[in-house]
Amino acid sequence: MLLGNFVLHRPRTSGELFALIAELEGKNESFSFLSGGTDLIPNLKRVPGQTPGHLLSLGGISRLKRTFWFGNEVDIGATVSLSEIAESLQLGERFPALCQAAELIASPQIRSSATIGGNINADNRCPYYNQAPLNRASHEACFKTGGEHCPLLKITDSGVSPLCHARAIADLVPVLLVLEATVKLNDGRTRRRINLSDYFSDDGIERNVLKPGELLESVVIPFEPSVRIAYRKLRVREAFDFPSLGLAVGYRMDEPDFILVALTGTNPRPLFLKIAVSAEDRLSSVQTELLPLVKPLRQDFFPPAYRREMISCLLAECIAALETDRTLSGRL
Amino acid sequence: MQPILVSLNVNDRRYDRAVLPATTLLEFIRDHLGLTGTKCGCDTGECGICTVLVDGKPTLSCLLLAGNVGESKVLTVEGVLGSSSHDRVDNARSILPLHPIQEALVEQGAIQCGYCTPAMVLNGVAFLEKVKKQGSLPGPDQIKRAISGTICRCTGYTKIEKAFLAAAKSVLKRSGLDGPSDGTPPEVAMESRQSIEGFLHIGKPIPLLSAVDKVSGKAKYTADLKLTEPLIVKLLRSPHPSARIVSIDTKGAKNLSGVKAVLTGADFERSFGVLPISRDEAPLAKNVVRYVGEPVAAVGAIDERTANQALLAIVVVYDRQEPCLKAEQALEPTDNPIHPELKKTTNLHKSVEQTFGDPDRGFVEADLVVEHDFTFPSLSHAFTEPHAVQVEIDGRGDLTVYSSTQVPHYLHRSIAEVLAIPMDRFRVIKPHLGGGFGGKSDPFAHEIVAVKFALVTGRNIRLVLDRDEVFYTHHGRHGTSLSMKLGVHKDKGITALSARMLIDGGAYGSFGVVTSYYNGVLLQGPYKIANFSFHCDRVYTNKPMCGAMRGHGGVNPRFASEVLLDMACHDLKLDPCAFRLGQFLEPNSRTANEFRITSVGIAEGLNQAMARSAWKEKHRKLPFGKGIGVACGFFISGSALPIHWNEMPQSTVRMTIDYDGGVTLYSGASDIGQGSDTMLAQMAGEVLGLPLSMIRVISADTRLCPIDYGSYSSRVTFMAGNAARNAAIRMRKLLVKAACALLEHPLPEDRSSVETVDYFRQGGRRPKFEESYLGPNPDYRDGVRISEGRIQTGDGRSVGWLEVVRKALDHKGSLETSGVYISPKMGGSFKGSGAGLSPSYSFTVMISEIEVNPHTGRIRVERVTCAHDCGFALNPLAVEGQLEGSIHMGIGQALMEGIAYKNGATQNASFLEYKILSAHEMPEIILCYPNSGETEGPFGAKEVGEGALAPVVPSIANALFDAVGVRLFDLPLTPDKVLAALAQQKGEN
Repeated sequence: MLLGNFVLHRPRTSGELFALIAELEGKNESFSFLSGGTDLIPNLKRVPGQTPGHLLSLGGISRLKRTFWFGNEVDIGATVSLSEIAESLQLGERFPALCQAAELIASPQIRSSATIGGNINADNRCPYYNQAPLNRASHEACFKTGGEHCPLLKITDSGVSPLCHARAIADLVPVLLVLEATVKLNDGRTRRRINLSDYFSDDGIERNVLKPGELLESVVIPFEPSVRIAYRKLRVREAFDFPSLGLAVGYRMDEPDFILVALTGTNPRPLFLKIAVSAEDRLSSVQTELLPLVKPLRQDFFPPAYRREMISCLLAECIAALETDRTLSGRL
Repeated sequence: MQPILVSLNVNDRRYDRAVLPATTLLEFIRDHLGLTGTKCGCDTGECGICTVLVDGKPTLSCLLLAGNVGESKVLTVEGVLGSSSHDRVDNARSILPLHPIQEALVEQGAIQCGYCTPAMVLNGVAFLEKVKKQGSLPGPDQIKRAISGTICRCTGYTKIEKAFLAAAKSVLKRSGLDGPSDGTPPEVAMESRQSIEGFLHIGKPIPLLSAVDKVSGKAKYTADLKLTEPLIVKLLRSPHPSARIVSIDTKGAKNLSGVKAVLTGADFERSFGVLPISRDEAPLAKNVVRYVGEPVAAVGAIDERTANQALLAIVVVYDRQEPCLKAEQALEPTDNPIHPELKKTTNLHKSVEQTFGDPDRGFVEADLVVEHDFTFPSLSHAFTEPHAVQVEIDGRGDLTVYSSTQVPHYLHRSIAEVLAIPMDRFRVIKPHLGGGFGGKSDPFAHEIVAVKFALVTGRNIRLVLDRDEVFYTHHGRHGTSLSMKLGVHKDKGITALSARMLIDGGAYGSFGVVTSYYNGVLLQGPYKIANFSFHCDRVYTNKPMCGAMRGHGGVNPRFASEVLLDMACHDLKLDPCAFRLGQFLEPNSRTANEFRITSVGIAEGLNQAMARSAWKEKHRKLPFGKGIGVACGFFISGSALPIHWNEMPQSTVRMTIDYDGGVTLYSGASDIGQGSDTMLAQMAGEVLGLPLSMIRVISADTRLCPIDYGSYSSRVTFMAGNAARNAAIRMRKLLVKAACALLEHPLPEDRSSVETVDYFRQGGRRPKFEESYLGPNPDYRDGVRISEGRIQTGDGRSVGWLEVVRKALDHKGSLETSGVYISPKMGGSFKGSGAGLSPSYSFTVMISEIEVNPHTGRIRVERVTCAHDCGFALNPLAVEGQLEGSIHMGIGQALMEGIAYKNGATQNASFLEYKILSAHEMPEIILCYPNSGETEGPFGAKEVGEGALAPVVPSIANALFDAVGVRLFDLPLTPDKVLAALAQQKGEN
């Protein structure tokens, strides 16, 4: 399978990168960022016609590969690899659930290329979209392939959404949401820092608030010693597979009446909620808040009803793990 | 697009190449550096076959742009071997300096087809670096994680895991770090559990002859061959399941610079198909398309990029028709059948029906009659090497066709017939082959198209399918719905079995007629069933065609019969193992449909498996959520009848010895990773008393090798093995004669033509022998001893091998013998009596232990105990590899495999979405050897490649019942179905 043609750029600094972007924007040329490539390259191979004119590799920018600790925060560069995160002792001490989530992703090979920034920005997936050209030609185009409707939704569904329902699948995101991480964005002129919970959108195509030419430079995670997190992932095989569900549940020991819940694998947007719970029945309080928001469709090996049922099951596992592990490190 | 200069450090050497920016690292090292040890499995990062090390870390080279590697160091399999910066091991099997992981993979028999091996080697190099750093033995989970990113379809990962552990031990030992393990390592010791006294090679664990080539990246697969400036051929495929082709406009494509030819259905006159009775397929669709993915047109261009552009420039106007997508629908009358040439009013392809005994009376006699419906999705072989074909044309117009085929002979025939070329004008060669499992046994449209391009253009041709095209080419296991009824009497056993199957053949015939019969007749063992009937309908639908897949036709009905038997035993309060013990076929008996049963080792197998699995302590005694289940199986050792009717032997093997004293075997059998070349060498080495280093096997080359029906139906060891053995016995006679002449010793008694098989007692008739035919498994003991390079007569005097060879060459100039295998005549005289006839049958017992999570419905297979009667394990490493691989495929079918169609289009045409087990899902495997010693098999051997798969699947379903008390009748046994069944059970209680 050949990739479509593009010009490859490998800037050495962010300055070079943004100068390049300005130049390309001036010429009205299309471009994409290239990080680990584990998500982008297969998608480009499958549909060479959608190849941008330029790929801007982030691999040469050393600043994006660094992890800085500032007091109670860690700032992880966008191109830090998933295996570096999984194996980092420093991260493991403070954010064990993050390392665990990284370690459960795909395969050792994918983890050594894939990056945290790439994971957060991973394209949403859908059986109508993640296909080679022949399969795409066998059915009508969907929103994400340039069509006019979403085939996942029956026309009879009430309130047919004008949005693409490809599901979010980034493994790290639930844990990062519960950790109340923020992301640093830079478009070369302005830097902004926003909560990860404000980063995503409800559209499987747009996916997030990044503006054209804007780069996710790093992820900042506050270290709060009293946070406890449990993470569970549902998938068919223990290697290769994207999460059918990825669920992180956390709370602060000094705020035991609130539970933070984040879920990926169902909706176009990873879901994130802070829920007031009663100590007697945390599970049902969370279910009551979370389940109405979840819309699993026929996007996955597991049927929607099963995935819906499994949300409760994983929730119960996470809550039980947290309840039995209150005083420990949070490692599961 | 301008090329860019890419400068990379690969294997500690600097390479500068001008390439397009779109070049991946995989393309860079394979196409631009010619390092073809790194293989391509999917090209989209979903299989891990293309793994290389980048700065010491396993990385997928198909996802990395060559221009984005920068200063990183790349290590490919070629750099692992012989690099001074790595550990070396002196290996007795090779003069090459192997890395410890390479050594271990070879020695543990962890290499079958070898296509994933380079990736496993690099996973291993990285893994051993970690082991050295941690200074302690890795646990089982660490090993699984190290290999989890690369799929292997042959080995079930079991021997790969053993090799990783063995390599870790050896590395730690050499660093003086024999640290304690952080887990319980699996047993590594490879001991033969059978008597092999007096044998030189037979019964001993022998790595494949090709293992060192495969582990070092030297083995060339079809796509690795570099022909001179081949045209790249690409196929345009139908996006519609059913349509008339109104027009095809190829002008745009032909006018593109670099396009040399464009072909359509109009360029081919004849149709083809593997069975002479269903030649219903055109190389390129003529007038109609019948499935999504059917080849419609093809382009030949100077490079792949131009070929892709040309495909986009072809305009096909389709008139879409209502497709027939469901098998049930295919049985209904239609005005628009998929194959109007058959002049039928439905889409029925083949209907077969047989009745033996009196099933109605049998059901009346039964204590209990159990009956149920079952469904099965279609499955993919999911071999790791995509189909590939290359054609070389010389100045005389003679062709050499290199193809990833299991049966060079069928391809040779089909090309000759369809393209009307004399068979002597072209030659078919199978290079190393990356897995088949039945999926490379048909002649394929793409192979015929490639040859046509060579004829039309006079150019060399290269055609390699993308992974999704492999899924559309399919020929996999038939989607099936069946209903089965079983009558059981506590004392009389199985009183009757009747079944009705509907199998979904897809758009064309392939092996489907055989599949239809096998669905029924393979139920005639391993139990005595006097009253038996079945009816099987194979229908055409507008989906990719189905054909032969490991366990051909026997797997799905076996699931039904073994589940029904488990249900009956439960209701009658019988132990499923104890009851089965009383039902097995007797040695030297006949089945109701007149199969000739010879050796049967299944009762011993069941006893061994019960003991090893602690069946009695576990069955119905495990806590809720844990379960144990049993199932048995039965399979052919090759078909006794050829698919093209003729009187030729089923296998012929030629042997030569020339002045150098080395032995060369020529066989048409295809080594597809199962190790048939090694088996042939063992035959020759054993009979001639030679080390395997003196024996070379040339196989699967239609010019050099006598014909052979190839590698399918588990026929090679039995048939080609016997032929090789006989060729060697004849050679031995020539040499013994020469030795006796040199030593002036009288010729010893020749026992080889004394028949060792009592055909009458065995229930068959003597085959029509040529005068000199030796029969199967003849005795070659002649009182002469050949060992360590000398031939010694009974009186203790001896003479050197080379001297004898040269004496034998006197007045002859060449030493040449051949051996054949001819199946005895057997079987009934009723219609369809030939189906399933085999000179010998294998038997299997499978006991699975599982854990079911009642909250998620997930099944985890924890341990599988397998007792497979293969007669005699000629090579325990190869036998175990076949069994472990069968268990891998069986668990996959039980738990997760299945093609998903949407409006006829394959939805999971990728390794990410078509789920084959990763290393993490493989259980512990315990193997037993209930060897029955098959009189007619070479050195007592019979089938091992396929039969073990079928009982894996029902053993898991039966264990599910033991674990949580629910039964499922629709495969795969996914967690959602388990949960639904548990919920229903709760409701009922």
